[in-house]
Amino acid sequence: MITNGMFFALLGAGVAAGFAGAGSGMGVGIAGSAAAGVLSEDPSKFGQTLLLQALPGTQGIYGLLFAFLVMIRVNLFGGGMDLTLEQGLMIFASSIPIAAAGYFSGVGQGRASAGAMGIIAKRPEDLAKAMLYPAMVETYAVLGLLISILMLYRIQL
Amino acid sequence: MAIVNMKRLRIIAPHSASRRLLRELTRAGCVEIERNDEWMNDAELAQLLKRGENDSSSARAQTEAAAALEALKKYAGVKKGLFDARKPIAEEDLATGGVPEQTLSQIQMINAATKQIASLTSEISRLQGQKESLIPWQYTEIPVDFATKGDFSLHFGTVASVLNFDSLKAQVEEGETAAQLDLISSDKEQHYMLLAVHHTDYERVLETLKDAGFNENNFKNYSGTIKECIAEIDVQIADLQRQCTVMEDNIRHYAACFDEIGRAYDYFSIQSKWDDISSTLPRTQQTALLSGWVPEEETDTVAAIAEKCGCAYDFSEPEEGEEPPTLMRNNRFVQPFGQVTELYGMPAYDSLVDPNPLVALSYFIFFGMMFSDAAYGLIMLAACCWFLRKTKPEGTMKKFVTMFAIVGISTTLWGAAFGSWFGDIIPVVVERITGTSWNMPALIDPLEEPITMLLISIGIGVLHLFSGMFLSLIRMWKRRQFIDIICDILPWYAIIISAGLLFLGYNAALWVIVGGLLFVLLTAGRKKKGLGKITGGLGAIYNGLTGNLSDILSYSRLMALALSTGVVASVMNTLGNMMGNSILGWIFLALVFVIGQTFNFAISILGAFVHSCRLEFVEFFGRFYEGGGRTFQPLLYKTKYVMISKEED
Repeated sequence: MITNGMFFALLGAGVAAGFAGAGSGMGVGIAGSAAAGVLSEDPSKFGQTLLLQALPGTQGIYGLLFAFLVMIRVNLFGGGMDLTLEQGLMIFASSIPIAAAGYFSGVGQGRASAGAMGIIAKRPEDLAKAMLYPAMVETYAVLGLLISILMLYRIQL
Repeated sequence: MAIVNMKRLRIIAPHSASRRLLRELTRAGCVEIERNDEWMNDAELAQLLKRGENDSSSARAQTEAAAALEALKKYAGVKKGLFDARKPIAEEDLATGGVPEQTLSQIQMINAATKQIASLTSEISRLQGQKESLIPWQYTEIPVDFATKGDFSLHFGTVASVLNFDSLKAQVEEGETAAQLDLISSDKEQHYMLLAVHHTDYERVLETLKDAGFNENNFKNYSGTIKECIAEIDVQIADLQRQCTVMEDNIRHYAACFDEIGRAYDYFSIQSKWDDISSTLPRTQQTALLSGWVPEEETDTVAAIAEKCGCAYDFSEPEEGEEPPTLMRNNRFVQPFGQVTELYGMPAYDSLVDPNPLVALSYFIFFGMMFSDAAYGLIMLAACCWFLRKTKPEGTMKKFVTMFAIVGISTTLWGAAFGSWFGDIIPVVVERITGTSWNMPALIDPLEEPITMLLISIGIGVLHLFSGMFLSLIRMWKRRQFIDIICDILPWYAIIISAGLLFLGYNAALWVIVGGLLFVLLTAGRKKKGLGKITGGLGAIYNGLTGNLSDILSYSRLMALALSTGVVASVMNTLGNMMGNSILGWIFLALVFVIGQTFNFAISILGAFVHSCRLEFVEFFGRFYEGGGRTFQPLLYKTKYVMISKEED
């Protein structure tokens, strides 16, 4: 049974997966072009650069995760619940933190990863430190996800 | 379980015994040798002492062996991967065995052949360059060495292709001029042209062309038509390539010698290391002085070695201003996790607390919780054990692989607790076959109870932070900074615990928090003067509150990554399950399962590794870590192609 409420719930799921995924996409892209630069100088650093490039990819997964949680919560796979418009809007609201934090932190983390590629190029032994800078950014995506989940599970359905 | 106490070691060895001493110390593997400048810088001693001669013959031989090995890998296709076990060899053989003449000459043959291949290759590329430059001309049938026929002469040449050829041709051939300009070909840069001109008009025509930037190409050293020239070059190239192949075949014949040359490489590398050390030791006519660091518990071993070699020795405490290297020694479960600490950097020698036991325990918990799939854990455990058995790695590699094997156990346990075995593949398959839904038994289902997961994460985080503060407390205790313990550590324990109690509904805890904060406000500025006493207190409260809050919240990543492993695995399974119960449906499921789970394994293990490290480095080390130490690097047999077999004695 699809109601207006259901529409907004799915909109929320879509916005979460879409924006967080877009942020990761841009982030991984930014990091990837820097990685290619490093690799053209020294092909032996493929593994290390790939590691750094993958770091901004997590936001997309968080978005996917949240979208999936929404779908479970509204029992989409079991035929869908009867949601009122208010409930649907509330679920939509709960998707905003991970969508926004995921998008912007994904891009930011991509920049940090791209910068950290310089460390890999010049001081490959400091890989651990190079990984730390991008990992600092990710905290904010985690916090966004945290709030989104807390909101989602506190909405009375 | 601690940072090991180091002793300064000095050994005076007669020259005759110094080689033997180095060998014994290398075998024992517990002495870091240091370049001794202290005595050389002393004016009086410096007159007696001098540095040894630098004998670089072994180093050269090592480089040559390395080049030969590279050539074998490149031309003979010898593959030595990560998974090939190294050949065992007796220590005796590696230290004093020498290298047979035959191997030496093989190395030389291979290197000579490589050198020849290099010169052949450069000749080939030179010829190819020539060929390239001829190709634009190939459309003319006129031989390049065409002699001047009577009054006419022929000239080949180029102008920039931005010029319009037709107008240039018109310019050259205008009026009564006995000249003809033909275009042979054009490319992005140039027009390639042939000019035929009567000698009476030669000067004038040439003038016109020079103004257009005409560049004459007189094809010195060529004869016949361009096509013939190109064919001749092709023949030459083919001949050179044949020679190259012969040389490569020659090298290929030596493929079977790879192991022997590898042994030679390792032999020379250890010899050159010893030569290198010997040359830096300060020496007199009869003796050499060796100085370095040795862990306190190894002093007996080293003393026995020195006596066996007939050397005088002395151990002393590190002096003020000296910086002994840091070595952390732990039991064999904790030891591999030392790699995590070393990734960040060595703690200072005098930092008094060894973080490794706590790092090991928390890393074990974090990694397992974030990776959190029982099947992934078992795969990782099996792969690591197989790798360890198959290749018997040493050093860093061994520690890392052992560590991943250990955290594989943790991953399996967490995965089983969450009921995640490749996500929910077992329930999916069961439901397909039987048609009834069935759930994997689990202690907690993260998807159903994310809030519980969050509380578990935060709880683990608080314990982790408390243990970090405790290490700081231990160090202050050892340094007898009791006031610092009371003012800087204990109030925060009280404040954080009370905040937890307040959250659980014990409102009285609010008073403890207020009291604690007041105490911090009054005491944190105690080392400052004047106004600093107040601002110091305010700063400490601000930093303490924001720092603790953000550190604790940071542990929510444990929940986030645990959920993401499980969810992505389940999403993959749901995707694979969409094609229904036909044969095609099952094939589709299998395909999506393999690809999807591989992807999830890779992305999740990366996340688990990075974020476990981050929690250790930022949140945990932030509480107590004092860095700047230097890793203890004992003199060891470091071999690349052979492995020293276990000694029986």
